Amino acid sequence: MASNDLEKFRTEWKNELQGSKVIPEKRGQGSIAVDPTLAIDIVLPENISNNPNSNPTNCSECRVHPAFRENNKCHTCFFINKQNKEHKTNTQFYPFRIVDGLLNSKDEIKQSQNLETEFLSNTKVTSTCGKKRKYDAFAKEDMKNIFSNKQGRKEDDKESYLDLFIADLDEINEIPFFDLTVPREVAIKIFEPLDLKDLCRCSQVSKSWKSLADDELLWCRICHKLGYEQDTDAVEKRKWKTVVRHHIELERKLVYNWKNRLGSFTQLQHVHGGILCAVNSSGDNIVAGYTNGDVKLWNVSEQFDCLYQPSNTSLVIDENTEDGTILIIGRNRRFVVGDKVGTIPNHVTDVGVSPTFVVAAYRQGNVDIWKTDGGDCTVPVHVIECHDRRGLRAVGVAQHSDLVYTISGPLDISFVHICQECTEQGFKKTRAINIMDHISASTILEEPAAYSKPQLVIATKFHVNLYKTEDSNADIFSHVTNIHNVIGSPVTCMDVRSSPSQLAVGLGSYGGTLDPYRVKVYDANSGKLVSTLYNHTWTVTCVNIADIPDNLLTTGSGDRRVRVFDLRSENMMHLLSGHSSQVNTVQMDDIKIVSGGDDGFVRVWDLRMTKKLWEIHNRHPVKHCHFTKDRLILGNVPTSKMPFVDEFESVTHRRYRGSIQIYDFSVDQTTQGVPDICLSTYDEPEASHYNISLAMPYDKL
Amino acid sequence: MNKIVPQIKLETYEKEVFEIDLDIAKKFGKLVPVLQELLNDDKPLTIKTINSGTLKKIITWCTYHKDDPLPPEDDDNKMKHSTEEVSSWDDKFLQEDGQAALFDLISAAHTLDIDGLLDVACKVVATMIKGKAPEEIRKVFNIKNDFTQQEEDQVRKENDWCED
Repeated sequence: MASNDLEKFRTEWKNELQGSKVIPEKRGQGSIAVDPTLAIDIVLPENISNNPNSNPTNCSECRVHPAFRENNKCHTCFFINKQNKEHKTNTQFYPFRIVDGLLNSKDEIKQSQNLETEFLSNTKVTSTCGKKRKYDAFAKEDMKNIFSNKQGRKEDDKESYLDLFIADLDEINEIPFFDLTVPREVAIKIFEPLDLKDLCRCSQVSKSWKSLADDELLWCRICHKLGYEQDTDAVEKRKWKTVVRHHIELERKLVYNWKNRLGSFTQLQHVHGGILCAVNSSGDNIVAGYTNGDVKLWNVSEQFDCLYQPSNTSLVIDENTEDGTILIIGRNRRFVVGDKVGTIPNHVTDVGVSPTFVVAAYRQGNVDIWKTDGGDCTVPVHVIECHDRRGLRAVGVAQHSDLVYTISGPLDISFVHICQECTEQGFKKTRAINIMDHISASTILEEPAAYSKPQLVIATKFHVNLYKTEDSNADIFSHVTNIHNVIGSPVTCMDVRSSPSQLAVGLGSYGGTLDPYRVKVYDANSGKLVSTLYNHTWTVTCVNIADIPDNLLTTGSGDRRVRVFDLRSENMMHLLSGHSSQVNTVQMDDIKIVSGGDDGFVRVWDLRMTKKLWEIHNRHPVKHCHFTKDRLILGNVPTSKMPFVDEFESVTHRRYRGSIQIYDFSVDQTTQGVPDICLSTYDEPEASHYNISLAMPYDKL
Repeated sequence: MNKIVPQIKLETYEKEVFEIDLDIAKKFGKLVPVLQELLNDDKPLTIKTINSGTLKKIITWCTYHKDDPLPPEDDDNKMKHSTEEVSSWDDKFLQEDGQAALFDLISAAHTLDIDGLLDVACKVVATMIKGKAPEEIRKVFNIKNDFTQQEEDQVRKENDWCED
């Protein structure tokens, strides 16, 4: 069969080369058979009248590609036209032959007029097939010009007539533009505003579109726009489309894993002898503080951990105990001083972590700051001594700059210590601010445009103030802006987002106010109130705006429910109920909400379906619950820091300890380290063959 | 007071001569280096690749957008600029004569290096493509599907990841 075809083609080809009259076979119906001699040799008008049906736009090339000629669109002819433009002498194309003939022989005017009319009638037919164009009148006029001017200066005008003809024929032929006439760079420019979905569709249109729509530069731009590999230049990589595809598929897999709870689970190694007091995390760093004063740092991606110990282990008198029991502050758990048995209460009250710093506040008044890297990491880079040992309550670390603050003090007075600009010798700039009120919440506002100038947001009972450094000569954080003032409704929680810089304040109630439980959202730069969100039936216990898609906000409340609000309409979009106790933490992204409650449950909700996807339970209240793209970090911190311990028990029982857990949802967790040959997707049906992948117990999930 | 506006002459491929105000001609990037010569020269400059209809449209467009601010130079703003919407006037103006005229206009804008017009026209074409299935695109732009069945299946398989 194949050899027959080849043979046939060869004879055809030979005949064609010899110029003999062989009408080639056509497979498609309705395509017009063309006399090759007509296309190549036609000069005399007799030939034309002999073949009245011949289509003037057909040429010898068309015969080879019959497919190209449907609907009178002769692509190949167009190519030849272009070539003819360049090599004017090589006029093998039929209409040019006519013109050549006309121009070269004066005697044929009459015959050529016949020819003219015939040519026009033909072109009329073709032009109706194409797009509406004022072609006919145009051509006629040109033709007339040709004929009237012909005798005078035929040699000079020969070229321009040809040009005219070519241009006219171009118009008849309605070429798809992208393919031939528009330069590649312009075509790329057209594709530029399209997104990846449209580009993928474009590449399915035709071969030339595929080559355009798969352009490296276009895909590189899309890749950067989606936020992948932004540091790589277009030339550094090949196959950008594959890169984009890889990332998109990974992302989808991740969403799938999240929704179906497919991933690995790790419980972090507990510090001996301590009970978990505080957990915090930032990126890959997780830090935990324990009752015995130990602070442990884990770096999840680099797989290392590090134990820090308090810098101050001197003797202090605990002023809280009435009988003045002397307690030894240190990491030792129990000491007998005099006839009293004191359980050392120097536990960690709060921990903070950033990519560079670990901060831990101790109950007795020290705040130690360590670096996460650096050789001997257990020696603190800086120690803050708080004069008032009662109630060191909170610490905070800026994620993008060197800024650490601590909050201490008894109920009605608060001391804020701020440290900035870390050097080898500790922090260069420090400042203490005294606030004659109880500080209920605090956070740092960092804007991408000004990472070096973070702002401190401090909420007292009824007010929220913004502290920032305005003048480099003045004290740091001396510029105070008041944002929020509502007497009667105490601030219970707070969250900030950096772009656009917004501040969400959750409010409780002392009673008496109408509709007291609400969230107010402010523009942090102007101090303007953006929206007020109602619908809560009890104190707002947590609010999340930082990681959330624009114009949304989510809250957890003492009424055991999680709510999602639209900031523009101020309406509640979703109400998620399921927790059996107060909601402590809440976080949301495009597809899910993760909330942790006092009941020890962490629940993952699907945002679009507004239903629970799955839940995890641990013994103690969820105090820390933070997810990144592929990781969920949970900290369950026990309420009782000094549980009743059996005399004979040397280690605190695990049920009192609290726990830190990591769920990793990144792709292909389960099959790491297994050779490719052993992985199976179960797509292959050839079970009868000795398919090793089907025999192995590892599934490609 | 009648101020004489300096004009340059352009001859289209139909030998029609257009007189164009200097202000407008300044938008033609390709002509900028030779503008002074053209002003002094009385003979029109012939541009064979542009026909009268297209040049007329170009002149109308440039006249309409004469007072537009210059597009920003730096890269960041350029990216922003490229996502801006096409004004309704532009949209109507560019589409009123059909596709072929639009593509003529694009070629001409490319030849003459008129950035603004090229941007807008490309965006108009892009909106024609947006959200359409391959078959629809073929129909709209009158394109022949030159894939074989096998190739088409393969290309579809290659690109099915973008569909949800």
